[in-house]
Amino acid sequence: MNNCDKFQQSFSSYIDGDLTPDSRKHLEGHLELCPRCTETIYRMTRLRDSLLTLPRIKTSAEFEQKLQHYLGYGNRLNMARYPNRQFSWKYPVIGFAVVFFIAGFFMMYSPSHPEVDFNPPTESSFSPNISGQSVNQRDTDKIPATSQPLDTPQEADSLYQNNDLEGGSNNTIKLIKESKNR
Amino acid sequence: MEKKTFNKNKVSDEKLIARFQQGDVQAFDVLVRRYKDQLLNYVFRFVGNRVDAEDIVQETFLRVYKNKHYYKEIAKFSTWVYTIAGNLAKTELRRRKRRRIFSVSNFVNEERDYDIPDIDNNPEQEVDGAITDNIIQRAIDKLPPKFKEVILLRDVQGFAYEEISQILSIPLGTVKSRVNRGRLKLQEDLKFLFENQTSHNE
Repeated sequence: MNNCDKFQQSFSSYIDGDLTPDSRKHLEGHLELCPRCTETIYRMTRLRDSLLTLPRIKTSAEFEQKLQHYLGYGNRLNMARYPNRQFSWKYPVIGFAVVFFIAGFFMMYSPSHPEVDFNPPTESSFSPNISGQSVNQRDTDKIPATSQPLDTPQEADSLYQNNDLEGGSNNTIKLIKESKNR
Repeated sequence: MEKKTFNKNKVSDEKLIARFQQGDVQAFDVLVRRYKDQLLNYVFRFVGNRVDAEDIVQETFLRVYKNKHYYKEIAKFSTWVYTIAGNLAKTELRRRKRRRIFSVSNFVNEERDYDIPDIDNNPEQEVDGAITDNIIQRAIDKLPPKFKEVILLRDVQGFAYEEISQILSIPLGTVKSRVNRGRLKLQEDLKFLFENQTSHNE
């Protein structure tokens, strides 16, 4: 370690005025003879002054409001745009439960599962008591095998209308008409 | 109900935190108002980004709020709050470093943006001043964290060596040594800046 390096260790203390009088005198003696160290001390002093006068910035206007919101107190009315940090599962769970309940209710009493329980005329063997079975299933499976020929296709149509059968029964009507023709 | 008022000059930080520990939230608000800007400046110079700095200061106060009972009056409140902010800032720098290692941008010459302070009147001198501040900030950024923190606490925030020693939990001699080495390194990096100013002055 040369002489300059040794003195360099006390440059900051010299700038801050923390050196003892003896150490200070010793260093100043060196500075009179060393332009390099003098220049370094000059730059360090300028640097320290520049750091002290660096522009100060301020927190944003809503800093405190945001903080109070995160902490759970303060004016909540103005805080709608700031997301709450604490996510709660309570509301999503309640929401899903309500949706499932409503969906389940409609599935139980949906029109696509009619509780059909009609009593056909005693003369006709068409559609014996079939309860809770879909109309389309009856159309294709039961009717042709058990039905007696009807007099006219119009009769078949009116029978379906009376029994409140809906779309999808075209095949049945066709089969009834065919049986009539036979 | 009696409205409590706090005189900035009369009530010390330590009394305020004591009141807050007893449940007085208003005392916490006063502490926030006292420290938010100085903490922001410290953290901003540390991480070099205003948005991140403000988030870190928010997090600092959140921790003060949640961990108020961990504060003991053996230390100054400023020491405690600067310790929290400094640790969060260092964590942020470590996170960035990890991200840079795994980032493709590591291989490109990355130019960082800094917030240049607002200039109302736009005279040339102020523009020059803003550029100089920017250059100084870049030099601070290049310092290793252990030098950066002492330089910021000493030369930007104006803390005494003893308090820096408490904030960073390192011996007083180490603080002095690091401040000296940090200043030497900075003046070396900014030699061109101060040499120019020297020649202008002459």
